[in-house]
Amino acid sequence: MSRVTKSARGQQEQPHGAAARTAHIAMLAAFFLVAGVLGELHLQSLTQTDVWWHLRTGLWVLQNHSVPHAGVFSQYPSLPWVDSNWGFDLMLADGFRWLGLAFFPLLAIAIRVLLAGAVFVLASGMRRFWTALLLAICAQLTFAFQQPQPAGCAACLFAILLAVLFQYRRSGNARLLLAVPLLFVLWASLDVTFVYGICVLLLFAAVGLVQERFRGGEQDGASRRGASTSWLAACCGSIVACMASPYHYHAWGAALHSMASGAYGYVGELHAIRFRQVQDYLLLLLVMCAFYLLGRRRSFISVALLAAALPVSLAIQRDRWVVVIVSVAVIADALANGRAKGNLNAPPGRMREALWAAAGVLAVLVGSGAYLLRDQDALLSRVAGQFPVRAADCLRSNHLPAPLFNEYQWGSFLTWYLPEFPVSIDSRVDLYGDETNLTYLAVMNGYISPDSDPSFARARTFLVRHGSSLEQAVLNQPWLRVVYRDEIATVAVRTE
Amino acid sequence: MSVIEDLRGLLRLRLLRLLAYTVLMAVTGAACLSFRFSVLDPDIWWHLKVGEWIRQHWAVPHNGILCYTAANRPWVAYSWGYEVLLSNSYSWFGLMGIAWFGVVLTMAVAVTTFWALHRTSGSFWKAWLLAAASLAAFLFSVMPRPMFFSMMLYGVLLTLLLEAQRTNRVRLLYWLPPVFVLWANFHIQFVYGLLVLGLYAGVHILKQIASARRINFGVELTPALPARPLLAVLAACFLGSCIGPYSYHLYQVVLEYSNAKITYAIIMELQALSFQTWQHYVEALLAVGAFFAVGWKRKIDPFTLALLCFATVSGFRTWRDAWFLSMTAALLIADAFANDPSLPVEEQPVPAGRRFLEYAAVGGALAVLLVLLASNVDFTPRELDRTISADYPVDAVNYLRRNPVPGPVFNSFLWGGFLMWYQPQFPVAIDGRNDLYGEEADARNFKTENGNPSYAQDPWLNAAGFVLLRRDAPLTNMLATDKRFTVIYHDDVAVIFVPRNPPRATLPLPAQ
Repeated sequence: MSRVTKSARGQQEQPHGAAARTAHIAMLAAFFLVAGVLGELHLQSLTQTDVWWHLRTGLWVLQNHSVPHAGVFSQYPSLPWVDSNWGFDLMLADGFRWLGLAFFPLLAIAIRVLLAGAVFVLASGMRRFWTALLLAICAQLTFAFQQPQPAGCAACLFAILLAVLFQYRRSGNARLLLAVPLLFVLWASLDVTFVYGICVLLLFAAVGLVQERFRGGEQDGASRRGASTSWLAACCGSIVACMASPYHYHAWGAALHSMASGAYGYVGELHAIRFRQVQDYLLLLLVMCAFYLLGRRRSFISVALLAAALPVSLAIQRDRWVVVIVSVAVIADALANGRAKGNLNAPPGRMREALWAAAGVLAVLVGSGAYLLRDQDALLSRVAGQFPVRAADCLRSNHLPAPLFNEYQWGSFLTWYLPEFPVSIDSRVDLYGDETNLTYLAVMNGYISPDSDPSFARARTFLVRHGSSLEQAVLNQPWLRVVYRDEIATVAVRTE
Repeated sequence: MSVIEDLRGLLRLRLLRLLAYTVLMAVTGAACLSFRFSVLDPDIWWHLKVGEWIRQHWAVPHNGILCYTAANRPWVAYSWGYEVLLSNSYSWFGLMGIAWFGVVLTMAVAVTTFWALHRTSGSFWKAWLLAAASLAAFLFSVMPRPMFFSMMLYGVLLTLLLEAQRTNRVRLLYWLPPVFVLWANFHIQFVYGLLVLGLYAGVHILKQIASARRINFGVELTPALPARPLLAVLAACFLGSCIGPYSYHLYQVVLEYSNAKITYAIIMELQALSFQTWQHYVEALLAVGAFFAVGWKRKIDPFTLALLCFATVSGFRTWRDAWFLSMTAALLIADAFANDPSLPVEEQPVPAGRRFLEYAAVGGALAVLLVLLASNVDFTPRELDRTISADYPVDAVNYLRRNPVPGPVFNSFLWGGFLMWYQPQFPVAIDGRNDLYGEEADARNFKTENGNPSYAQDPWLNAAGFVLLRRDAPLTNMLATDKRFTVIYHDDVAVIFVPRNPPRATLPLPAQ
């Protein structure tokens, strides 16, 4: 099957007339609107941890016109470090210079809308409107992007990649693969998860090559003669494209390093899915639906893809989007195969309508958001509800002595708000290494005495969370004097 | 003859099958012996002590025995059957009795799982592979506890349900009421069995209604079994579950567990799968394999689909329920790929006498193998003693025996059960019976032991005559710098603190 036949087209869901089409677009626009705004009603993106070091690094890149190669803003400036999100950081810093703190929620909204659009397109788009909308809603509910994250951008690119690869398998149109290396140039500058994309591409290529060799199994566009050249070109081109960045091949090194890191054992977002929330079960439902459908309509590539994605997402909750997007693609593909192959060869005009809807919603949201969120002081006070803004002001105004011992959760924020005090730790776990991180966590959890942590032992000023075990431990030390305390943080200085 | 045909011929050899079966069981037994879970489980000790109490009093407890903080709270020893067996084993064989009791229980689960899969699939090798996968997924993720009876009896239940559905023989289900009588007196998760049976009956009734009204939307709607006997079996099973010293009160415990929130946040075995071990991936593989297999069947069977969804939610939610998901998934895969739906067993019938001899030979070989293995992996009283001393405060309690201090004790949660058994003169503050103490007390104790600043206001800690804590507990570090306490003993496992001033707060102690 390589062409869309008239009979196949006849089976597709066709909206009846202009009114139905308008209704669909309105519904889609409403979905994009809700998807974009729902997670940002309380400006959650301003209270998240990681975004601040991304901002500070982006500002540093703008200032120095180069990317960092060592542990900037930390008390370990000589440690090697690769900022694998440099493209994202740059975008964040540029937006911040333009819109201030309002850019955070706007970027989070934009990522969500783009992701919703990409998943909708992946799930057959306007061709199979209701199925695609339902799948996109389910997928959107399972994503947990509460902040403008590089992972959100990566999820968008992953959905686009899968849409291109599935489309190529159906149509055999080699021109589609030309876009893949370009996609990877962007992806490698945004997030380290470009490795997942490369793995998926290699998997598709391997299955395509095997099918071309044996001429068995699924006879589709991508298993025709000559497809192997296209696959090889796409794979090689993409692997090389990932090195088209200021870090060259070091981007691969950083990716492999992060996979081998011990951080999976102690960083919360790198733990397994906890299965305590509705969205966790929704994810499970999507995956199980995909496997159930694969039992009915067998497809080797889909089974392999899903089997590869599932362990990644179950083991690392941060990467839950991988299996969700794969499940959506597999379900859409299985449903399309169940009726007529090539069902997803959407005419450009129909897809363009969906894209216009997304662009329109995005423009409205960004425009109105930029207007509504123009009061920077109000935004900073929202930040102060979560981060030690007043305590940091105290440190700055009283010229308290460095070095500083700070909480892990606040390190990122302090890199931006208090740059004159290099932090003892922050959420760049790849910078600090397992030993430093584990020692810090053992202190935080009370497993060892605080003095066992070198950063605690050498610190002269201590910034700890109010009401925490560490605060209690600090208060028990006779050689520390509390100089500031509010409902968020406690500041103490060494008296020896 | 091709290689594949040669291989098929080889796999048909009965001797090879017996050998494979022996290997599977021997590996299971070897794992039991080397892990020594039977004596490492923190809960085993309070089960043992409660069993002793029941044998001593010839009655089951109705309130919080063996502790002083919840002595007057109602409590149901819902695993009393298991506890009596364990206690008997200990009184006959000492520490080795506890250890071998766990090994035998684990082996019994393995045998039942294989039997269920073999009977369902009708194929030895399919059963062997599925048994190996499912046992790897769940058998060693929890220690040998009363739950193992649930595993065995659930295997029996689901096998009978699937076979009754396949063969249209409702008579098979008449075995279920006695199964539930046994189950309800051994473990509280008999409720899972009752829910599965209810689901089975409910789906059959819905099928009958849909069939009568000629509704068909692509699912298998021909009811395999008549509704009335099915409902009668369900009612009999429910009544059977009330036959025991606690009668219907077991359902109150079920209700409490279903309303619990804190328990699911703080108890390790009630956490979701961590995917830090390969067993969790095997469990996930079985689950997705089962969905694939159910989808593979020509007609959708609403019962298997609903059961699989229920088991998947349970299995992913808590790793304690890995057995429920793994056994369900393996049995449904076996059912979907059974050799011939009308013939459950593929092999040529073997005469009963020969079969008995074969089983006896396999059993004998296994027993010899396990005894040999036990001595090779130091599964001896002395080594078990060492294993226990490395995890529990044996030396600390011995110190307290030589240097008595006034109670009551404030102890680490994980040691409560052990202290009940090893230090019976002091009723404990808390132990693994989290349904006894209540959610509020469990949460407060969890915070205190984890060094939350609120520990200073903990009434149990403030009323304690001495505090016996794990060396690595966060509270230990807190008390080490707390001026109100002083250390009187410490080793690599435990630390004992006493208050510098006699405790001001007091708690009512139970009558001895």
